Amino acid sequence: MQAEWEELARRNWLEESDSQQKPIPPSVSPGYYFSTTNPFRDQPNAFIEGQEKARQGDLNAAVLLLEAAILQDPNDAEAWQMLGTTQAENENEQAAIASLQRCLELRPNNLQALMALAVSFTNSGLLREACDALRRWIRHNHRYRHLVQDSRGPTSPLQDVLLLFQEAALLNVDGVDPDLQTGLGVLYNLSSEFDKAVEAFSAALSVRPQDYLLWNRLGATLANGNRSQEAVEAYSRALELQPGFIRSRYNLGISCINLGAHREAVSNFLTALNQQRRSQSCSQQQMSANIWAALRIAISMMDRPELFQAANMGDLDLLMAAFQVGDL
Amino acid sequence: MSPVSIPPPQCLKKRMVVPQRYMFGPGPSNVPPRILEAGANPVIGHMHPETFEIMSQIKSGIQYMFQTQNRTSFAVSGTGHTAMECAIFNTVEPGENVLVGVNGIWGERAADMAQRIGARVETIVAPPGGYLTNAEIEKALSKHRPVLFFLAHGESSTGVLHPLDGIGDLCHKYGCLFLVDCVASIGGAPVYMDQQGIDILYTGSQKVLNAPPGTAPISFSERACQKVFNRRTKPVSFFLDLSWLANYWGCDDKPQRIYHHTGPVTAFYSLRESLAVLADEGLENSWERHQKVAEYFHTGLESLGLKLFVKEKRARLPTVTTIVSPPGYDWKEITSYIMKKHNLEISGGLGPSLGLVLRVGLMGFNSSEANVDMVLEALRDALQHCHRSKV
Repeated sequence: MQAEWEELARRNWLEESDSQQKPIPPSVSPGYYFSTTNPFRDQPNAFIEGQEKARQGDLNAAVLLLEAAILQDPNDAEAWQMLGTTQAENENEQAAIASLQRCLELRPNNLQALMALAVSFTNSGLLREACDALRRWIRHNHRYRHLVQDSRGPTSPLQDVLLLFQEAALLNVDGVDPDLQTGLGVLYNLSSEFDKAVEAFSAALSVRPQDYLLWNRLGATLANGNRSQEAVEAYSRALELQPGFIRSRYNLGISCINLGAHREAVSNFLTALNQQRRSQSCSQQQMSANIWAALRIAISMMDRPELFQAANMGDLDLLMAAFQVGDL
Repeated sequence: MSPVSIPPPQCLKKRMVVPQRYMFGPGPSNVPPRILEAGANPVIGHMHPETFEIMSQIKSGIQYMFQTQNRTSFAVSGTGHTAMECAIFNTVEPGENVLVGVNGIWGERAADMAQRIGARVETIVAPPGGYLTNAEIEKALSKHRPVLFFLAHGESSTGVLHPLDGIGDLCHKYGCLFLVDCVASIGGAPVYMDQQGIDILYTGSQKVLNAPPGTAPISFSERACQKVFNRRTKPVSFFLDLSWLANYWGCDDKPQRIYHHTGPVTAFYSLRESLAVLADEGLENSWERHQKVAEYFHTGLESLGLKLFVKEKRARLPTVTTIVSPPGYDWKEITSYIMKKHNLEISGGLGPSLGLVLRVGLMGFNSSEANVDMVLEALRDALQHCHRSKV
């Protein structure tokens, strides 16, 4: 037990010192950190294959293939964009932000990248940056760019952009623009007006009911607004559409914890981690640190000290056996 | 004489500015005006009679606080860690066996210190949030036959209050000294040094006592002193050598006090005042107040949907509460937000509890229902504004 304790402490001290080195604000991030070993490094058609893997829900493989495509052609803006959105789906926010920013350096008017970046900034609590991205989205959007004026008086950046999006929405008399509604949903998340955000995402879903990203956005909004039960339903829809959607499974686990369903939470986290690990023979780093953190918390609430130790050691196999989580 | 090549620092030309803030982490705690002002008294000699008188009063205060008649009671110059080393370096010789109870970071550090001076260290471990049973302790004592057993009474990294009854007796049954760390607990939870058979007890000035960090009350029983003064080898540290310290503090029979080190006089003033404040309120009243406030706090936390890390009620340290880090939140975001917006310090986890908990310390005069309300409000606000599920 002593050796385990020392290892535990060492790991924790490592985590502590790591985290002291990590938090570089995304807007000045040094760039994207590529995987050190990439079996697809010289793969022809890496981008196409990456796209396919992402579609299939094998996100880790998709990431590696897209990285390979970029290493072969560092100016491939589309690959950077896809890498960004895939990393977000894979619950790796920092990587998502770095990729999307790189994409926008090459293509400043890429609307999908701008929206995805706004979402990532929102998740990271960077309100100003998120608003800025959404402002740029409107400015580059042919339908709405005419609404942008330079100074709107003494309001906050959030209120400014919100007003813009609301005005834009009014232009759509005979239909819903799901992308605009997504922007609105993100803004209402930032302003903590969760009910309005729910309306916005629901409107977007009415046009795109098969969009699993939207289902997750809806779910997360419901969860952030303390409507955990409904959040679970939304996440389940997302996961039906895309079982490999790591982020949504992570979110589902969070809502399970909030509902007191610890076992289900753990089960979901383990499934997600297993999916990430199984995708490629990879080391601990390829699994999401967030998910491990949430898993530890969930297990710490279950009064199973031996499993808690296993969670601290990163012993995924033991935990999967204990919770009877098989391969999906 | 050649000119100095390194210029005077520009930063020292500016006026020093220190903000006011609520110190509701695991320590140091806020220092109330009476104790702060005591520290502004004129500095006199560390061996002047007036200083000796103040030191004598401090000793009496410590005997009261620890509930002991030990004559070898004084304050180490330094903080809790200094006292930990003082305790270990004096009572343990190289090659001797030491048993350390580990249920958080303090046991781990004690083990580290004992190892450094060449002791053979064995640990018995309880998971974070838990504690050791007397049966487990006895088993280990019997197996390892240590000369010293360490236990943290107030394990502030996990929020656990370790039960103490019966352990002193067990130690003595096996010819072992009982060392207890009460840095985070004394004054807030009951400790009866003599009655509980504790051989060495120490605390820090900057927790329940609400004095600035800088002194660490400590006490050695007769049994402990016997071991120390019959050492085969000198203690490895001159600064922490008990025979020197006991002499400086007038705990021995020698007619003269010999210069050992320069005691932190100003810190003595504030320590003396903080002990006076404690004596004024009374130990039992202080214990009861901390307990009541803690329970009020815990109820409030649960109503926010937060969960307490220590499941067993009676094992909860009333001075430092550990809250399960709400899932999906970045605890660093919560603590930064609360600091920025509410000017209030609370902490994350430490050592084995890192990433798992938030820690709130309400100690000494900080322990009040009004402060609880303030913390709950700040937490409610943070839960609303810091991020959870990923959109």
